[in-house]
Amino acid sequence: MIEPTIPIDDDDRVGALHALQVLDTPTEERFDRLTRLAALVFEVPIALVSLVDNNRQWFKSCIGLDAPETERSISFCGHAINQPDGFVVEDALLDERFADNPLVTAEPFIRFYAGQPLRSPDGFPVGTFCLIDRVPRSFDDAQRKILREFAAQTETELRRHEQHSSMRDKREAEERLRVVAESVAEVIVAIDLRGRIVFANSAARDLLGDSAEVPLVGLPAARVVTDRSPQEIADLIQQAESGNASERLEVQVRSVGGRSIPLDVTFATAQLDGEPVYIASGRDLTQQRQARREIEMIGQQHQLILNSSADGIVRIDSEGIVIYANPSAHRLLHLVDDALTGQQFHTITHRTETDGRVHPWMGSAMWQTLHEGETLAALRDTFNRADGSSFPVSCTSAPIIEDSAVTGAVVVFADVSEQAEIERSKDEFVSLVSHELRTPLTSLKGSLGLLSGGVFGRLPDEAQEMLAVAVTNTDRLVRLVNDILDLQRVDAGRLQLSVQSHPLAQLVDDSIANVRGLFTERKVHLENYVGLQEGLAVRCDGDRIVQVLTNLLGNAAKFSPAGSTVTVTSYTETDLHQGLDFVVIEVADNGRGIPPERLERIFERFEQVDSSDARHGSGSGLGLAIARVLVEMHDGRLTVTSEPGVGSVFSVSLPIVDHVDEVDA
Amino acid sequence: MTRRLLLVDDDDGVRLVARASLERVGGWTVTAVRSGADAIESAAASPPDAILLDVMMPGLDGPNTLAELQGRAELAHIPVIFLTAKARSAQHDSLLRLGAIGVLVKPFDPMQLSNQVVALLGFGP
Repeated sequence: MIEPTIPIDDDDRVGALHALQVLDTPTEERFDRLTRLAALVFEVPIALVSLVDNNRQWFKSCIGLDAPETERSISFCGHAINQPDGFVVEDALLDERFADNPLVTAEPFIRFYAGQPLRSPDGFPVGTFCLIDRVPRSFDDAQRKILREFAAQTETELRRHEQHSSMRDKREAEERLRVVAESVAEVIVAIDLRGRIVFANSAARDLLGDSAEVPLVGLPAARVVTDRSPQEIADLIQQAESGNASERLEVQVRSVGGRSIPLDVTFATAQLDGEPVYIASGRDLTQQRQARREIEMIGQQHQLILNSSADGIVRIDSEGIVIYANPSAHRLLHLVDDALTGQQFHTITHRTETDGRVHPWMGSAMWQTLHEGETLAALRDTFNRADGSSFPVSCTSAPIIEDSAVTGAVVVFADVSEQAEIERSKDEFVSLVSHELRTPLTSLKGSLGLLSGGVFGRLPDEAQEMLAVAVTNTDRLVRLVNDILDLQRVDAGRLQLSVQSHPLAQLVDDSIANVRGLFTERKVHLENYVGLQEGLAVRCDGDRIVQVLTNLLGNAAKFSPAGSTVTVTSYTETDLHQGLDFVVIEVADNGRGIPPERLERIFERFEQVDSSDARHGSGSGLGLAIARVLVEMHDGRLTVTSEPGVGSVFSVSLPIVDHVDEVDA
Repeated sequence: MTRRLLLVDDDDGVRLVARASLERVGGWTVTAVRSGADAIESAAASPPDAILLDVMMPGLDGPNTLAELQGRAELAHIPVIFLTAKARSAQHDSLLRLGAIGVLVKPFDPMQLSNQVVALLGFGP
């Protein structure tokens, strides 16, 4: 705690205070009226006229506090008199000067203080007009201005005490009070004991209507209050008169436009021109009501969505503890409502398996969301139900970010048992079809191959030619079956890559080995310059990239004239957008080229450059479609440039992830 | 005295062409049987030098036949090559992990089948 500084001229200041002859005099209504009005206007429990003596502060007027004085050393006002422009402590607990002050830590538990110095006629700060609250508050410039008006009026009263009363001061006082009452946003009306409005401030006149024909002042209060009978109003006034006024009421009043407006009203009794009056100060609740209704509506809407969703929706905190789970989450997990709240969601849904395998929380998808702030979508997982059974789920976990920190996550999950079952039977079907098609093809290809290979003796030339057609078309059928099965896997999203690091030169060599025979047969030369890029390795599914390159090389051989040359080259380039290095493998032929309008269509399924391709006799029309999918699955690109009559260049670009010395063992 | 292969496949056509290919093109002696159970019985009666084993068969399938062979001390040493109609290398990897020394894919090239077998076994007929 820091004690107030004692000014150098404090003796003179105390002299000026004593000269006012006001210390230790009885309470006076003219001061009490000011503090009472200030308490109403500022909505504070305590308002004081405090005079700072040698070693104490003494209260000339005191609303909301029983003590007549306190020590100067612990007083807030002792500080305030040193601040000509007023002194505001918005939260005493946060202020090292007052945090451990006994007026803060014990009765009256001051949290908020605003004081304006009161000056003697010769300019010494003799005390303050101050406001105190037990909760922290803010205090804006408009409020400071009003407080200064109260202080100025108090100074006038102090002076009047010194000079005895004068009519001029009284008029000034009334003018000041009027300024205060007029400038506040609250509706303030004074009602006399007969229930008539005897004063209405500007806010009251605006709200309730005031005209020359129907002046507001003079009207019975019952005319503007719509939800109380005149008898009830009379009773209220009766209570106020006997000192039992309700502190706070909500009343409906008829506004100038005829609308009924809810007002939150505080009441006090006072004297106006020597007559007791009942002062009602009210705040328009319309906007507050509207806002509350909107919040309730939004809340109801959210609740409706959460309650109706077929998916489980769970909010977890940063430790993975369930804060909220909707009815479907409970239903899917076979839990009664609210059983999830307070539980660790991962542990509830991931039991230790019967074979002892555990699903650790650390590193789990939800853990990653909470620790890395990642949204993890459409994850396949298996959740346990309360009875120990389990079911497959598709699960999304998204971080809740508040003030740029992850404070929790929303986990949405759906039971995908049916889809899983469909996928399983689809897989079984594909596997079966694969087997059932290949088995007869094996016999066909085998017997034709043996016959055509001359194993059973030389056949007549015509028969040999027929056999060659049968062998070629059997091979084509085999490729077609393979391609269709590949595409089925792609469409089902079940084509899986088995990714490892592979030296680039090796991938190209393996692909060339697959088509060596075709090149020889078609008398097309093949030049491979990829060996020069020996240092490069690509992380990929080696079989699949060889499949792609084999397809491109096979096409080049098929569509090149005899005697021409197909070249395979590679180079590296950097994609500045992605900040990745790519290796580009180009297969260039001197074939007839592809017309520009067909360039992209050759990557579509069952698409060939023209029907005459059939005579080349070996394409399924699926090879390039599959090749493009495979390359894209590697985050690469398969493109083509072509000039009819000159040739085509197919380019495969793949991200380079490492170099050959890091190749997986 | 040529080395002998035990060929196991439930499909008559496949057995016929594989046998013809291995015998006529490769020069092996081939015993062909149609089921896993027959394969165990045949191998027990007269152990072959290597076994070509179909994967998908009714009754005792390829992997279970291999397990049965591995469970018998006198047969466990015989090298086994799977013959599969499943084309994916991921499936091949799992077959190799069962203890086969290689996987050959159907349909095979009958003029090359023996060469592929020799390459995997490290010995010829």
